[in-house]
Amino acid sequence: MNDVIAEIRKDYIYGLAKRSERADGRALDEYRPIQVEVGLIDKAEGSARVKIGNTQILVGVKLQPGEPFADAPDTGVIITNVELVPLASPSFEPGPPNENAIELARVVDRGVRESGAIDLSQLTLPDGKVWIVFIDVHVLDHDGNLIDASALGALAALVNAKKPSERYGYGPDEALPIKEYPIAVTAVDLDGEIMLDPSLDEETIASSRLTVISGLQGTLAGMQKSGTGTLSTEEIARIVKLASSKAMQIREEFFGGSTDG
Amino acid sequence: MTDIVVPGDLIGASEEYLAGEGTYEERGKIFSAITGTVETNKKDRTVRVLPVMKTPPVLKTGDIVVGRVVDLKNAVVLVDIARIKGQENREIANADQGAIHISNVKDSYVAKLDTEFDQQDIIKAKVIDEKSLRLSTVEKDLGVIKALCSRCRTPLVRKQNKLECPSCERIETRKISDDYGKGII
Amino acid sequence: MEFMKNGKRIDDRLPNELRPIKFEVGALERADGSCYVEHGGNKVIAAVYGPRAVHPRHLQEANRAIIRYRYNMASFSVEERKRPGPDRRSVEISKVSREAIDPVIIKEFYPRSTIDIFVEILQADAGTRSAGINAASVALADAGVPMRGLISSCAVGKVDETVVLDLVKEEDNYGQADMPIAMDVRTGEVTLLQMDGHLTLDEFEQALELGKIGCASIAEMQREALIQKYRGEENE
Repeated sequence: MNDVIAEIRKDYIYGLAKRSERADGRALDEYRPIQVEVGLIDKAEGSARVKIGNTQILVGVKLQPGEPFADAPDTGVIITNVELVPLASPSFEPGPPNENAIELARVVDRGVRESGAIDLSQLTLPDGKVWIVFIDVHVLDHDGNLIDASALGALAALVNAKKPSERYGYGPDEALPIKEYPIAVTAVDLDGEIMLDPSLDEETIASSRLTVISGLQGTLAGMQKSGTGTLSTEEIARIVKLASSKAMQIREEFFGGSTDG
Repeated sequence: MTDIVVPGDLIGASEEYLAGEGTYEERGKIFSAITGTVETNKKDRTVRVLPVMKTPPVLKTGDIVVGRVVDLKNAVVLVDIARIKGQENREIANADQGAIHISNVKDSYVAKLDTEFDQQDIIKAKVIDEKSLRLSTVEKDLGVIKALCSRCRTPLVRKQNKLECPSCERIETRKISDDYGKGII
Repeated sequence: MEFMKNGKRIDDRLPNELRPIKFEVGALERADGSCYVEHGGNKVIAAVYGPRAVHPRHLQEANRAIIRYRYNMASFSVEERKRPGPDRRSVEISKVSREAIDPVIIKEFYPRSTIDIFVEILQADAGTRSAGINAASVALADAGVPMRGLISSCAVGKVDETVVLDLVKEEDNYGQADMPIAMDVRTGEVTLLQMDGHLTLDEFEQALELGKIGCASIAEMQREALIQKYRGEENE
């Protein structure tokens, strides 16, 4: 039944796109209001709640001592998981993570891992174990652009996290060694117009989207094209440039204080 | 300021009032079933609770609905009703199939339904009988609001009183709503 | 472990005292109804979807709505990371919680539909099922689902031979008994009762009485939260 509404809205949103407008009045490269709150979950070593418009996600970071991978004995381990719980959207169903949840988790993971956000070599422990860093994203309200919200939440929660060294007898608790601040920026192409931070309607209607994750110097750390639609190389180049500069703004706004040093 | 009651609040006695909308009766007493404000009607002696929040959408006579054409019979078009105008974001609690009789398609004579609708068309209609879920598309803003070319499945574009396929140039007829192609309900 | 000192508990509460509780009605946008609850260290959110179409169809009932309830813990909600997904504990809690809420929902208004209740435990500190039921009950009211009343829930138990209301984690883990109950406070009908541990019959009676008092206080908070929410909107 939902598809009927989506099909009707498609005409409306395309009609607006022809005039370079969006249903909520935003500029094409404008995000909905972003809110980041950290430290809401005492039971987690780090946590962050991110709202982008009506989209809301909660990220908990937990750290436990564990065995390193055999081929990398001197590096910590990151495990990222996303739960698209049915509370967040009428279209989510209970059950094990589907391909969307897994894709989302892997893109978030890639941003953190490939950008070198955490210095994994500093996660070793004296007894040969390493810290296992669990990044768990819990989606609470789905109104589009879960990737950017989840990636931002993961980073904010990592910055907020403390190694629970005391609990495991490894000395005083310490902040995680954060080295890089990867920010994901997602764009959709609607009728030739590139729009950042797609709302649920825009994301549902667009046949493809591109997420670009970039770091402090504007260099790229991860990308993901999603959807059956196509993008021209010119469009991709435009999105990459736009995303990298938008990421600078977002990073400055939420991590400005931490990145200066 | 009016007082707000919540589910389970006592709002009257059965000997005094009839239990109306948003209420229920139990052992001679009337209670609120929802969160809202109490309204008593001395004339017909009913007490009801007017909701203060959005309640589950239920199809009522007079509602404007959108849906998809699923079948064309000799004299009726069957429509899967999707949403009620004004409550588009919430599923209809009693969602079902509605029917447009050939006499309720438009204000002029219709000889055959297949000149007015096709399978998969998205239409806007008015509920004229909530019990049997009979629908009407007589008014100007009612009728087909989105249709695909029956040959190549490209969305048809309105050209005056006809629909044209921008891809294969086929011309089709429909009972077209004034809102065809605008994407609004 | 010593639980009672000078008549006070480890968190300085009296035996018959609830932890601080906060309700936020309509915390989510997408859901048809929602409620966020903080109950001591518990942080819980409930969402309601429906009445809506039932999939798969064979589950639908010709003359009434069916009720589904899913209790789920976020991986980060507990000290030791929990593996995501349902386990035997959450399946049981989902079942008894559904049965706790079901009796007050007027299901006959919405034949062939389902009313889905989703409870996410974001942080757990003993009494999550009760906090979930309290949130779910308010979320149902927020969704405009007709009900005969609100269901209120709390746990009672025994520590250091003392019957206490609303256990914290340590009391729950190392105490002598834990007994969550849920009820429709107006009618006095009990809709959920579980118990584990050791209670004498006298202590049980005492505990049930204390539980009723606890539920009554919570019912008042649920009521107040709903009224405040909509009174605020009326004035806007």
